Amino acid sequence: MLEKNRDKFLSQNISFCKVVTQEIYADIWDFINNDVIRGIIPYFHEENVIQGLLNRKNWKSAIPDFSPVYLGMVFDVETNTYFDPCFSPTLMNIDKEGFLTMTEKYFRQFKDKHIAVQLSGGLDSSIIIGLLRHFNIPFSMVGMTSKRFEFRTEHYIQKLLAEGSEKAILIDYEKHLPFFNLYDVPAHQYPDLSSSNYGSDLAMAKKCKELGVEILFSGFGGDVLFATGIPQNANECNWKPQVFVDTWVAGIAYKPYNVDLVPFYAAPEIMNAIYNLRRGMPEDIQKRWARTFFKDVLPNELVNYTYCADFWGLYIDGLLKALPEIEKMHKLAHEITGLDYFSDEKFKEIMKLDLLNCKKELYQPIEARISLVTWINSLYLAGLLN
Amino acid sequence: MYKIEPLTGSLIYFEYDETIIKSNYPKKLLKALELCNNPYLLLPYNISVQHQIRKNALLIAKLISVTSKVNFWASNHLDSVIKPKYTDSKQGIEVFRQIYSKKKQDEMCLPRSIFAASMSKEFRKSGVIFIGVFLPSKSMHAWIIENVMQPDVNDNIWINFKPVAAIC
Repeated sequence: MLEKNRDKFLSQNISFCKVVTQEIYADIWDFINNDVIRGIIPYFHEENVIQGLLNRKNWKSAIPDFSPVYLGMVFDVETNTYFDPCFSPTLMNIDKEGFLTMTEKYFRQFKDKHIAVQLSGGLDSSIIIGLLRHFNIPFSMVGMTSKRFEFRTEHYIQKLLAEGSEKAILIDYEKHLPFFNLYDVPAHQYPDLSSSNYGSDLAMAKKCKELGVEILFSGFGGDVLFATGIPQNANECNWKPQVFVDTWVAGIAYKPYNVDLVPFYAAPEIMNAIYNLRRGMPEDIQKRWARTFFKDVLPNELVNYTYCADFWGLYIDGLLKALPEIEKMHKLAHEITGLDYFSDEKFKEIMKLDLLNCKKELYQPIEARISLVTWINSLYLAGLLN
Repeated sequence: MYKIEPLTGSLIYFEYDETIIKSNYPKKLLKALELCNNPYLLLPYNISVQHQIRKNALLIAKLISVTSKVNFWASNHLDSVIKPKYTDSKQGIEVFRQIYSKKKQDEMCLPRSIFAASMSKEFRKSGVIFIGVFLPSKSMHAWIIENVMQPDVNDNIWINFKPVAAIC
């Protein structure tokens, strides 16, 4: 029965390695059942989240029999493990003209597609918008917007960029806060932190579909290209694929709506060009280099000011409002797994924490836990568990 | 509404008092508040400059840093006994950032602002120290608006904090 319905399951763009035999499986839908879920090790997932995305090769799988192999990972014969290879830049001479020529060529591959850009009001996506306008390439814009105090500059930029564009849609973030509608998250094979933001990505994917958008550019990865220090020696470049592409979101939220989520800054030619342009430059948290380099295609506000809102407020509010739903999901996860990790007592312990204290150390284990219960609930609702 | 408890500096929630009339606020406060609400009206960002640190500046910075930890009221009133040495708060902030390591600076926004305000000749004319809260968290932050500028070029977080108190 599962075989027949396999097509209904979405791909989160990962494959799996069977731990004992080292065999690679394109998916593990056939193996997911109550016994497997009872055997998961939730603390491994929590530890992985705390270690961070950049240390993915050291992660321990929450499913003991299978290790996820994320898109872009490579097998290391010496250590018998998979790792994320760093981007390997090629040294070249490039100036602004060269960059623009190369970028125009990059955009040409999408010329027959209806393209759009995620309009966040931040620098990275505004650069993409500015470049498309520079080349007179038609495009739409879709973004989440917030009237919260901390987002006042982003909101201003969003309105400025959307002005005069018929195809600009801004969606109210308050209706799609992080952790909202976690029951709607489709079945996925392995827990992922991105599931907490599924609601907002789904809202954008639906709008894209309404507009007929086929390609949606995101500014994901811009932080790495523009804000980190760039080593003089190309061999020391430590850009890993996972900080440029969110494969879970692309596969689970956008693909079902026939929208390809394309992170502009993950294109090798763009990465290579920025590496060479910024080669040897120190860390630049405020992205002043990028503001100056792209000043001809950006609104003056983004060139002359370095404001950047923090998403913690949205996260905290979303979490607090979603707690009753999360508690129910915990109960179900406990019923299915029988694991103490999901017990009422453990959940109550979390509720005793000061959730208004915006410290990373406090939130990481909670986010990991929620992504675990979201995962188990999604499998249950898809009929894979009982 | 929120207010700052004068002695301890704690943030306290209270029922809004209709008798508080905004027009009674100092003009420089109203102007600075407008700039906080509309940050693109501020002057664009600048670059940070290195300074030679004099002994008395070092002493004052240490005094304010220690006092602000134990008594908000006292640290807030130190400026009345300190003679301004710098043209503006930007210089004061740059000096303070040179005195204490980058790691320590995150938790030193209030002493940094008080030091810069105390040492600035311009502050008395147009400067305001704001204390803000990043709602709904309990996270608080202090920063200065002076002469149509947010003078701390290395402060990347002030934009997130809604002003709840001001020191003029």
